[in-house]
Amino acid sequence: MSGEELLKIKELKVHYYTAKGIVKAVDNVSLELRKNQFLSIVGESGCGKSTLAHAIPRLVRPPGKIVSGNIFFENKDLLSLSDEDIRKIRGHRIGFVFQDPFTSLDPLERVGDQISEVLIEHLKIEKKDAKERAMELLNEVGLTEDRYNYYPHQLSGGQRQRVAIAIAIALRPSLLIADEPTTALDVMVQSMIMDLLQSLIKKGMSIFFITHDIALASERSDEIAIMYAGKIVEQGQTSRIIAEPMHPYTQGLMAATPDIWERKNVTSIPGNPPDLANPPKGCRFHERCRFAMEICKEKEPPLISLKGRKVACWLYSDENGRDN
Amino acid sequence: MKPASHGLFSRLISRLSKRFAGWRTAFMISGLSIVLSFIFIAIAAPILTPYDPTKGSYNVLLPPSAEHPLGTDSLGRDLLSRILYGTRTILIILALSTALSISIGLPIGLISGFYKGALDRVLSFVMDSIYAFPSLLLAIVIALMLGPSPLNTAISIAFVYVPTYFRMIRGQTLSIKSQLFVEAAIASGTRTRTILIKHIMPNLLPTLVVIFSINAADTILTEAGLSFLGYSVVPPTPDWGYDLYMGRYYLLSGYWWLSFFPGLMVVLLSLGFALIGEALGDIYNPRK
Amino acid sequence: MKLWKYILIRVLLVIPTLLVLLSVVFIVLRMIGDPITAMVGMKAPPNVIASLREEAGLNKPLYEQYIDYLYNLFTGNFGTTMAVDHRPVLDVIMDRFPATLELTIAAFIVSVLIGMLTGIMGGWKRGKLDASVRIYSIVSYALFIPWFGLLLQLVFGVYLRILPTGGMADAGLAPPRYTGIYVLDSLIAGNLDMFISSLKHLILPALTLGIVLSGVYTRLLRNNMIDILGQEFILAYRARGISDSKILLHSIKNAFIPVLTMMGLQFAILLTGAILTETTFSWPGLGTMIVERIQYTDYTAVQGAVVFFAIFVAIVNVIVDIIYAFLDPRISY
Repeated sequence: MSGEELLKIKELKVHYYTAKGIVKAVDNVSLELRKNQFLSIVGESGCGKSTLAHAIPRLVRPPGKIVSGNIFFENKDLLSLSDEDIRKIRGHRIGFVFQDPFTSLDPLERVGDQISEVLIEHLKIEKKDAKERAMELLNEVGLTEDRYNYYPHQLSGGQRQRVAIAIAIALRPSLLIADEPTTALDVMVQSMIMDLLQSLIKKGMSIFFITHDIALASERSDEIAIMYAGKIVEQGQTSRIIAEPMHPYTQGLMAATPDIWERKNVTSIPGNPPDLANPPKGCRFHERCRFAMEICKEKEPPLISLKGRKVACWLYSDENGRDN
Repeated sequence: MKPASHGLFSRLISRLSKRFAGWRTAFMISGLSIVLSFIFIAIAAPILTPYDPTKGSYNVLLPPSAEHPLGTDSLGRDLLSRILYGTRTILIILALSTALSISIGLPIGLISGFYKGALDRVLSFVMDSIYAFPSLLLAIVIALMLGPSPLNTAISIAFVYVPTYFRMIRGQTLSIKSQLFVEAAIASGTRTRTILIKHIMPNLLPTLVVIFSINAADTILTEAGLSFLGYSVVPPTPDWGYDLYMGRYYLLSGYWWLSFFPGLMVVLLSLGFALIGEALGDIYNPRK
Repeated sequence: MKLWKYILIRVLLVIPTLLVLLSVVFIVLRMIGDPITAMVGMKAPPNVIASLREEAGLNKPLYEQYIDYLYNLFTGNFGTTMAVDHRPVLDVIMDRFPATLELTIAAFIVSVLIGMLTGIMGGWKRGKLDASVRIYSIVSYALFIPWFGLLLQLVFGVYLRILPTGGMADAGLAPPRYTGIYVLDSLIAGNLDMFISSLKHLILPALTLGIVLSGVYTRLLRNNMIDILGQEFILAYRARGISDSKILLHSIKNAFIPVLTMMGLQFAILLTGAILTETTFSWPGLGTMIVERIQYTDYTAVQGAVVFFAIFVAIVNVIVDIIYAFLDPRISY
């Protein structure tokens, strides 16, 4: 895959300061996203993938805090921008679609007005022009113009998520972050929303897609990053990872996914994700890993490049960081 | 299945210690110390003051001095003594009226919330209607009809607060009833009486404590309001609201202490309960 | 529209509400004891009590009294006062009602303004400011109206001598009667002196009642603001790059809607407070009327005023519900 770099996350750390202690939700994550690329971050709930998504436009709320790292987007370091400058990027250059369309729209405003508002905010245009543009956007996401005057509660879940997408793409952002946008929807609606998202790639957008569903990610994305306990454990081109998952956790995720075409036994990964306030020493996955070795309990594996991907596992590298 | 009432107080204490941080602790401690001091004053009144609160003298309208720390009233009675003994009056009325409203509000709220149906709808409608009526006016009319005495004042105030207890108890019963351990008990054929007394009642207790502390703040104000208007106890019984009323005629002539101190007592006691209510309300409403 | 159906049903529901309230009033005023004896006191000669009972229609069997009572009320017949003036009760009530209306509306505005300002600030800023807002809401709730009113009288009337301590206007400056609301009537009359005089008289009672009631709004708005600000759609607004000032407006709108439902119930508390405020400030409204008429043993007038309060409360609650239906798009009819 080639293409110009759009987003580069470097050694990002996001911590939550809770009563239980410091929760390292995102721990030293580095990622890149190129133009017109569809990247999926896959992981179980609580692995920090949603925090990672929120961190990009600096939407992490207290007690969470971005501790260190860089986020370069369109040649700017987002973490060093003033509050006012980052606000101008949010919604304008970076669109964001939330998981639950039932809670991410203002219940008291007509959905059309919510689209208009973001246009007026960033373009300083007249209400009338904004309304016209909002109607076009409704069409674009597959809704009729008469939905403009509806309140969120009058729409179905899928329609609401379409509205949320219309708002997110209203200003033709170069990056669209979608945080599990289909989890709250039923399966049929899910695939229509995914089609809509995928169509945006052709319109020049890149998609940063968060999901717990590796099957969904493999169907749609160019690249996949598997996240476990605040860290990226495997990352690379979708086709390669699906054909040959290398990290035991990735293998576990795939084994846990039912496949309607092939009859196979679905096996879940034993155990639970670790407590991020007090993560295990060494590789964070070792307590659930069937290949766990002595070194896994002691030392954290480095993320190395191998077979067209990056993977962090002692099965593939020795203590000096070289390939086995 | 084990009822959730198990170890209620230990749960309460652990909840208190977990939730009580910062302002909540401050509210709770100051509220409790105010209320406890008033209870102490009520008990120890004869020790704290040498004067008879109802006996007049020729030393009328004296300003605060060493002999009379809060001055004397228009009949030459020591104001401090009247205020200290007045604590008894208001606390007795508070205790009586609370006992009465709970003994009516609790059973009907429980039955209404548990059985639902037509009875519930009728009861709720009636209670909501009374709830929307100005409470003091209702209390005035009842107190007027019953005649002045601490018990009658308590009855008239109790009547006004029945709907409050009813609404909260009913709502709480509804939500407890839908919890698993109660549904399991119903499904396993446990007698209704047993379910109500063993499973539901104990779980109502925390709610009851919260409503009580909030209502108590209000009851103090209602009683003071009633006696301010002259429908509570018979003079010369020491009573804050009535003393405030009597003093108000002298206020404009500069005898400010006559009204100021009795009113201050009303506000302090009410504040004490309101502080406790605010602190408790936070615990049971972690959403804040 | 379904909205109109909802309004119709809500309006029709007033009838059973009123029936319940009127029955409660009837039970309290006639079944607990003899109202005439209660008002005259035990010392009155029996023949006086008997004749007053006769005049009030209390000698008939209870069920007949009840039917008469309801029939008269629904035909708008409140009877004639039994003391002093012997006028139709409704006329006496209407003389006094505008004063109560003036006081309650002014106090309502004060309480909502203060409550919104403090509650929104506390919820938006948190920290130290929030703590003082919380303390304000608790203290103002615990204030005893006659005491607080007297303090204000003492400070502004006795020591500073800048505001009057009682009544609705200075002698000779009472405006001609159009609506009975002095502030309004003086404006209609176009007399500035009268207007200033009635406004000055209104300030202390309105502040007393308004501040005491504001704590409830402070508390409610603060809690709602914190609740709303924690919701995802606020984060979604931020993700869209909407400015803080606009997000504040959206959150206020969301925080305010539930307050509106409270206002109906708050109205009862407002009226309770009005009775005490009127007495404290010698304000010639319905509250002082009831107190006076009890002293005159004027049974029909007392009953009439209490019933009038019931009707007033029921109507205000309907109006609040209808406004709410218009403002909250989520309400299901």
